[in-house]
Amino acid sequence: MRVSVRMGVGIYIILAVSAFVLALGWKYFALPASSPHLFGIHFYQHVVGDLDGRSCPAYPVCSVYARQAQAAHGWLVGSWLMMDRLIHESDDLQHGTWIVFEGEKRLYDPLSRNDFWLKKE
Amino acid sequence: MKTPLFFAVAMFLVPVIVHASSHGLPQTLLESTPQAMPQSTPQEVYEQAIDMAASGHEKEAIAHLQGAAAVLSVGDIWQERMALAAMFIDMRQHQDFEPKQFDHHSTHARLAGAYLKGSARPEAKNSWLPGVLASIFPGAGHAWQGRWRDAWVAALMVWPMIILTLWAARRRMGPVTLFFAMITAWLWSGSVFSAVSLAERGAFDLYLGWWQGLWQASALPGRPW
Repeated sequence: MRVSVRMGVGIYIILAVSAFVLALGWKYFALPASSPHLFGIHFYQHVVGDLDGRSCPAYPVCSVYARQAQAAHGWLVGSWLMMDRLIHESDDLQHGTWIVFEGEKRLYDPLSRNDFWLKKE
Repeated sequence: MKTPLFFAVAMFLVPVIVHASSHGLPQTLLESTPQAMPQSTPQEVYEQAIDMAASGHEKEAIAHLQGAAAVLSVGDIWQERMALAAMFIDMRQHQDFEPKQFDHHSTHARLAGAYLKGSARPEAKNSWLPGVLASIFPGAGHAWQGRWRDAWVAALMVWPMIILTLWAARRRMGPVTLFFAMITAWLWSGSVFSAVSLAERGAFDLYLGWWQGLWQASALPGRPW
């Protein structure tokens, strides 16, 4: 009984300290959970991307493009731009603009090429 | 209590003030101050602005060119080039075919005028039709633009979800149906967006070809693309 009470107090103190630290410095933590709409991209970049071994043929790669789109246009339009990239890549690969990046031939498809019309005055 | 605080602040501020008065502004401030125009030649200013426009900073390039053109005297060749380049970059920004306040007096402007009269302008296609087609039948908007591979991808993205939603609705699965319906709406709207975006991009590519011809015909130096 005494051990469990001590353990309970210990857990309580740990939780209190971590809550205090998080509350003080929340904006300094770049945790994926702090931006839920970026969690999927973050998960892909750091977990799935390392495992699946495939590489995106475009420059910038799709996950970076998706992050840029989300940052520039929010989650809804950003996700549409991300879908648009996945859709139009198949035809662009047949006759796209090619560049050589780090020794690899890549399809040049920056965000500005696809979102310029959203900014049109 | 207040006296030590005053001395502490004074001990920090005095060396800063003395340093600033003897050495001028701190380096960080100097770095952020824009370079004075007279230090650069008109050609350098022009080239900087063209580089800006090439990297997508069109508004800044226009401001740069217009500001420099206003400083230079009328009749100066670089003043004419800057004014014309600013006008053309503004045209590209708005996808215009007619320049504003076009002055035919300079050589560059006369050359551009000949191109404007003689060149065939690309037909501006509306982007709403692919959008409507994609809204009616997922994949149709891309197929209409001749992008058959994209059409397949768009169709494969949306149709299975439509079928899944209808299946769930038929089996009266309630919240599951709602969830599938929301995913379908998201994917379907994304495919409509993609069809419109590609139509806009195609129209801009056509315009850009015409506009690059205008720039080259006017014999303006540099390539802002």
